[in-house]
Amino acid sequence: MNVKNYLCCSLIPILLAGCTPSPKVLEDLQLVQTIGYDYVNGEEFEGTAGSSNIPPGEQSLPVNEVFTATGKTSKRIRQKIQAEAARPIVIGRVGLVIFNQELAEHGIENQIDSLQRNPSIGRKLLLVVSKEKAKDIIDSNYSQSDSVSQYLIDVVEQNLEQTIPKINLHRFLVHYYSKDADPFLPLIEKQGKHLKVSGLGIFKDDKLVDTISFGDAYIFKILYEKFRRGQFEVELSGGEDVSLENLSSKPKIVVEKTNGKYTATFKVKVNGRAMEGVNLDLTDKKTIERIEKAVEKEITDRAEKMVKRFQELDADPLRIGEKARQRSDFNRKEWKAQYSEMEIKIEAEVNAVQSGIIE
Amino acid sequence: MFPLPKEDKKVSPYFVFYLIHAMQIGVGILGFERIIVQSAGYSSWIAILTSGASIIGLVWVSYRILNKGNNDIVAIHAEIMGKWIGGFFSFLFSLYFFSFALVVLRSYVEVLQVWVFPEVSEWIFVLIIIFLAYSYVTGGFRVVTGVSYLGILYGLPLLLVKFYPLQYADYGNLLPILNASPAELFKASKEMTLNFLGFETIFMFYPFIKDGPKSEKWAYFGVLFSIFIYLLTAFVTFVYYNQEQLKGTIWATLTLWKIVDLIIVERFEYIGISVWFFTILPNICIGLWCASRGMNRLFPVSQRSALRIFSLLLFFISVILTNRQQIDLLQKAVSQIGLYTIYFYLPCLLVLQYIIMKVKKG
Repeated sequence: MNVKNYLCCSLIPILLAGCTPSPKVLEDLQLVQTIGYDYVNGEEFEGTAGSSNIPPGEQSLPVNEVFTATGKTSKRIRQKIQAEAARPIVIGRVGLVIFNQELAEHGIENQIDSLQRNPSIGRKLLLVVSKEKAKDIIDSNYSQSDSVSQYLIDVVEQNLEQTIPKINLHRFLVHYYSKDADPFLPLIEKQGKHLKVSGLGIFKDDKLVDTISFGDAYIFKILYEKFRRGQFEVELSGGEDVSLENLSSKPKIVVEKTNGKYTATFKVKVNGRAMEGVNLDLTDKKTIERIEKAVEKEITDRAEKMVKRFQELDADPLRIGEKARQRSDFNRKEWKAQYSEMEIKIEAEVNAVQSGIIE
Repeated sequence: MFPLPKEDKKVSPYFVFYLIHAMQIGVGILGFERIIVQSAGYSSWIAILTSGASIIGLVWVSYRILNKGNNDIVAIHAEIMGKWIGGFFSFLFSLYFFSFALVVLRSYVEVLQVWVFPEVSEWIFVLIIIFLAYSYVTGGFRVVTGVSYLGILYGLPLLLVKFYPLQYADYGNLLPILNASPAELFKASKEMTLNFLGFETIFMFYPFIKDGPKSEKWAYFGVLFSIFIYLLTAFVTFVYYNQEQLKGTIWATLTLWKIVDLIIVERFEYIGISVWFFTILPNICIGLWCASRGMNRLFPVSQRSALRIFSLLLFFISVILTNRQQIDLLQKAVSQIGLYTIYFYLPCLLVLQYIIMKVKKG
C-alpha cells in the first residue's frame, strides 16, 4: 500500500508537467531576436522588432520579418506590433538591442527598466548605440546568408571579443547602478552591405554624452580589462612603420589619497610580438626596445587624451571611482568634486616577447 | 499523559543534520542578500557569521531544555507551566509552525507566478503543492525526514551553477572590508537571523530521534552547513552585483541564474526554480507535520484530522494573500514572531525549567 502511495506521489509531478497553461510550439511563435528603439519626440519612441521566419519546406532560407510601432512604453509598442504579427510575439530569445543615438542622447532609462524588469530577458543580452535609425539597421539586407538578426548579433559579439570592451546587459547595469562609475556601450553604423562597430558611446547616467572612435575603443579596452588580442601600429622615430600584436595585456588602477587629494594611476602591462616591420631587424635588441618605447608612448598619449576627455565630461566609464570607493577613507562628495580636475596618470609597460617565426 | 513515540517511528540521530539544514534553507536564500545589504552594505557578510554563531548558541539552549525534559515542547510546557498555560503556549507554537509552512508556500508560489507562469492563478499551484505535502506528511515523520534528505540532495547541484556568475565577478566590490558601523552590522545580523529560523522545529520532533542527546552534534553541523551555504551565496552575489543594483533586485539568486549559459538551456532560472521546489517542499512538510503533531498532542484529535484542517487553512490563507505587499507583510510578521521566540522565549524557558525542576525536587 505504501509503495503504491509513493508511486502515485512521484507520478503526479511527471503527469503535471504536461499541463502547462498554454503549450508553446516553437514553429508557431514569432521569436524576436533584435529590438531597436528610435527617437520620435520627448514622450514617444519607436520600437522595431526584427525576427526571422523559416518558411516550411526543405532547405528554405530564413526570411527576415520586421515590425515597427510607436508608443510611450515598450509594452504599448509590443501590443501594437502584436496586432500586425501573424503569430504570438515572444522576446525570450532577444540577443541584441539597438538604441538610436538621438534616443540615447535623450536618455534610455525607460527602455532599460523595461528590459531588466522582464523575467524572460536574459542578462547576456547585447546593447548597442547606432548612428543611423535602429529601424534602418534591422530592416535591411546584408550580404550574408544568415538571418539579419543573427548577422547583427554576430558582428557585435565578435567585436566584443576582439576590439571593444565586453559589455552586455549585466555589465551595463552594474555600471549604470554604480554611484561611482558611468556606463558605456558599443557604437555601430551601417556601411554599404555591412554593419560595423565604430567605437564606443559614453553615457552619463542614462544619457549618451560622447562617442569615441574605433581606435580609441581599443585603448579603452586595454585600460578597462585584461585581454589578449589586437594590433598596435606605430611609427618609429626613424619613420618606419611597425605593428605589434597584443599577446596579453592587463590593466591596474591605483587610486591614492594624500591630504584629501585623490590621484589615480593606470598601470598597463602589455606583452606583444612584433610581427610586421619591413626593413627592420626584429631580432635586434635595440630595435625591439625602440618598438617597445614607441608603443608605450602611443598608448600613454592616446589614453591620456581620452581620460582627459572623460574628465571634462565628468563621466567615469573606466570606473576609477569604483576603485576609489574601495579605499576605507573614501568620501563620495570629495571625489565628485575632484574627479574632473584630478591628476590621472597612465603608465604603460610594453614587452615585445616574440617576433614571429622567421629571423 | 504525553507518551513517547514507538521505537519503529524514530529516525537515527544524524538525520537531524538534514532536518535542521532543510528547515533553514528555504525561500529566503533566493533573496536574503538584498535585505542584509540594505542594512550594512557589502560588509554584511560578517552579519551572516555573527547571526550564525548566535544560532549555534540557541541550538545549545534548545538541547539543554530538550535533554532535561526528554520529550517535545508540549510535554515540557505542561510540566513547567501546567496544563492550561502550558497548553496555551504549545498551541501558539503549533500555529507558529503552521505559519512557517504558510510563508514558505506563499513565497514560492509568488516566485512561480512572477517568473514562470504570470497568467496562471495561484490557487492551482497552492493546491498541487499542498496535495503533495499532505501525501508526504501522512506518511509520518520518517517520510518527512526522507523528503528533507532528498530535498537537500536535489538542491546541491544548484551550487555548481554559482561558477557562471563568477566569470563576471568584480572582487573589488567587497572592499573596503569593514565600513559598516556596529549598529548597522547588528541590524543586518538581526535580518539575517530570520533566514536561520526553522531549527525550532526540533522542539516538536525531538522525541522522534533515537537517542536524542546524541543528535546534538548533528544539529550543530546542520547549522554550520547552512552558514556555509549562506556565506557562499552572499559572496557570489556581492561580487556579481553592484551594491545599488542589488538593493533593487528582489530575488538576487534567481536573477543571477540569468547569466548561466548552458548549451541546451537558454533560461536557466526556469530549471533552477523547478529544482528549488525540492528545497522548499521539506519546509512545508516539516512545518505541517509539526503543527498537526502539536494539535494531536493538545486536543483529542488524530494527527491526520489536524493535518487535514491545517491543509485546508493553508489553502485558503494562501489564496487570500494576493499581492507583493501582503506577502511581504506576512513574511515580516512571521519572522518577527520567530525572532522573539528564539531570542527571548527560549532562554526564558531554559531558566524557568531549571528553577521549576529545582523546586519540584526540593
